[in-house]
Amino acid sequence: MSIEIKDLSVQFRNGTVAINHINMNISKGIYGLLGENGAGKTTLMRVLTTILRPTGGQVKLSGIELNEENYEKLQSRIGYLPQELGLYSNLSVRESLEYMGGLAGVSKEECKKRIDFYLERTGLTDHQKKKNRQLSGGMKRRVGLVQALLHNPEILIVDEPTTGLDPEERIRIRNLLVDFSKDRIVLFSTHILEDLAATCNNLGILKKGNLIYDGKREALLHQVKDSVWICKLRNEEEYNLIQNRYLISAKNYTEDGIETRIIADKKPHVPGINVNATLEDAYIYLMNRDPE
Amino acid sequence: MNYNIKIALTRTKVCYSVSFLLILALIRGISSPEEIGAAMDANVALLAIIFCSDTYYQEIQDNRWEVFNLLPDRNRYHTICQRLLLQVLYISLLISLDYWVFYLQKAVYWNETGKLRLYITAVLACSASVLFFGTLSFTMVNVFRNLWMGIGATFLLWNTLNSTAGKKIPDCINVFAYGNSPKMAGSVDWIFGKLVAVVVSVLLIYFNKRFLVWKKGLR
Repeated sequence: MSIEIKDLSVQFRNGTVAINHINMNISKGIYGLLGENGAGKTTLMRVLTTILRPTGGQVKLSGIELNEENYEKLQSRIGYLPQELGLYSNLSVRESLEYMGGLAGVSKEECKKRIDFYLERTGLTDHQKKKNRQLSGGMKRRVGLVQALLHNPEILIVDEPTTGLDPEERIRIRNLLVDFSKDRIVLFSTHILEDLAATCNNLGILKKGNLIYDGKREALLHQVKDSVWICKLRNEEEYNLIQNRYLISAKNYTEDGIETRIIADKKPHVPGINVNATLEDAYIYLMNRDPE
Repeated sequence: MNYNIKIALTRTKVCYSVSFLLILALIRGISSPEEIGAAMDANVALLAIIFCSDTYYQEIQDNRWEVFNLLPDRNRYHTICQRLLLQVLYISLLISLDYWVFYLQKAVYWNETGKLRLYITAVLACSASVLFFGTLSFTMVNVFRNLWMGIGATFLLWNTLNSTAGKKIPDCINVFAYGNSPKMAGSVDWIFGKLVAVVVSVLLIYFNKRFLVWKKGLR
């Protein structure tokens, strides 16, 4: 069970390079995909879900090469939850899952068993008779997640599943993803760093189609070890001076000035203390680093 | 099947189709039962253009196409065809009921002779138009990958065939030959026009196989 990406590139007809010769190796568990809007996350997911044909490179899913001849074979191994999945508003939760399961080729009996199992796991058993249009945003995502899992895929691809959800629902979704990653690959795209910090050990960061980081979360944090400082600034003027010199990952007005989180390799020239780096600090550092 | 009925025949669609046919039966003047089929033919085709246009397009509108794309080709094609045919069947059923609403017009005299034959002929003839224009509109939307372009292109053909110029098209290939010449009800020439429409519809349904996988960007 693996995703091997070699020298993958995607260029659109208008000349935009969405993916620029990237290499990745993803194995069982959750792999977090991070990047700003337009970085190429969704494009990469569309390639992996066979929606988009790459312009160059090679992709292998569980050893099977991703090409048109293998599409049908691969499609049954992939579960996908896109960013905004519209559910059939006229159908109830259970009906829509039965419908999608049937279309995915799961037998009626097996489909029923799996729906019961996943509804229980996602806390939707009590809502199974509700029409999809009556569901909250979080419930819809959970239904979407169940539909992606019904045919028992080896690879689950989820595109920003926690965007726009309240904290409780976000935690629930990401915990589900962790549960479902025990025996499969879960490719989890997001720009909410907290979600990745809570779920992924391995992650990749995309910037303008380039993979600028691929590796362990700890290794990423290590890059900014001893480089994060909390400094107390007297006023806005001082803050502006600091802002021009250093990377700033947080700013907070306090009673006695401005508390600023600074990322700098050496101690800044203003008074401050060295603190532990977070994933957010590491991300800001990496995104603003000069390309080598 | 049950789920496809719920998906294809939404409350909005049911409301506007029933209203359309009801209003048509009440305001479209006719003087004899022989004209009922002719009065309905082109109009129900227009209804079918709108009704069937989003058969597949709703998957795009509701952002389901990416998930739909992962389903086995055969199942995906079958379910969409089922939705299309269910819609055609539904409109045909409405036609068969709406036919009798025309009798509310006082101008219609009750002529028992051949009443059943006229009824069956009208329903079958109109259903053929519904099948043809419904399938064409669904296909055009898939080809253009745009709902309004698809509806517009089909409407152009409908308008051409339904115009004075359209009447000059030989009956054997004109889907509206039956509606254009109600007096020909006794003749069988229009049947060929309808048969051609049915055959073309079947071919279009087959042709749609390749359009049911929507690829973005590079395809």
